[in-house]
Amino acid sequence: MNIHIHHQQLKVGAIDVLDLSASSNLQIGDNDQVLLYSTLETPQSGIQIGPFPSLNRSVKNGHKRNIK
Amino acid sequence: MSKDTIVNVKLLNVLSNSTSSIIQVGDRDHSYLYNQSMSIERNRSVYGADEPLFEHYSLFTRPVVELESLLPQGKTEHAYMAQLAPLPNQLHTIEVDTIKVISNSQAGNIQLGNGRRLVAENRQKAIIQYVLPNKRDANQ
Repeated sequence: MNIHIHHQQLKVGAIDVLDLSASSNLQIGDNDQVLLYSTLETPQSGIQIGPFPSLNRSVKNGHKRNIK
Repeated sequence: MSKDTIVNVKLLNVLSNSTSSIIQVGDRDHSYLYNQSMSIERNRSVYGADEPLFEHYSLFTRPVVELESLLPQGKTEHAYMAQLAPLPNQLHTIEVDTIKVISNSQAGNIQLGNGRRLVAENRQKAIIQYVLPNKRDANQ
């Protein structure tokens, strides 16, 4: 498939945006390639009971972080 | 892609632009916006506790899903942008009167102009943590 695009004048009046977030795109113009990727994990899968796993951690007097 | 775009903007009013976001007036070649974040809600305030690492969650390392793998075979077709040039004796201009944006965040892109490749990637994880009381707190 071949697309022939001739650039001419683009005229826009007014744009009023409240919120643009999470890999969104607002563009006046052309693009070759657009990749918008957004992922979100929320509970129930994000429930953690107890401390987080840590690479270097010694448990003395409760939860005390030990960074070497 | 045209490289000689003239952009006229009368008013560009932006209140907030944050966390890997871009507002651009003009052309660009390649943009890569990346944002990763974690939010933690705890059942009680804990000071000096361990904080989570991004490396512990596959959400932040898994590869981006390719669109073609989600579509049925034979339904995709590549488009070749063969001719991207202004017409002879004609200027390529973009004229915008007003743009009002309250918030642009989390790898959001606002652009007045042309581009070649845009990649915006946002990865977020929300965690609810139930912190167990330690022995000293339990005895009190």
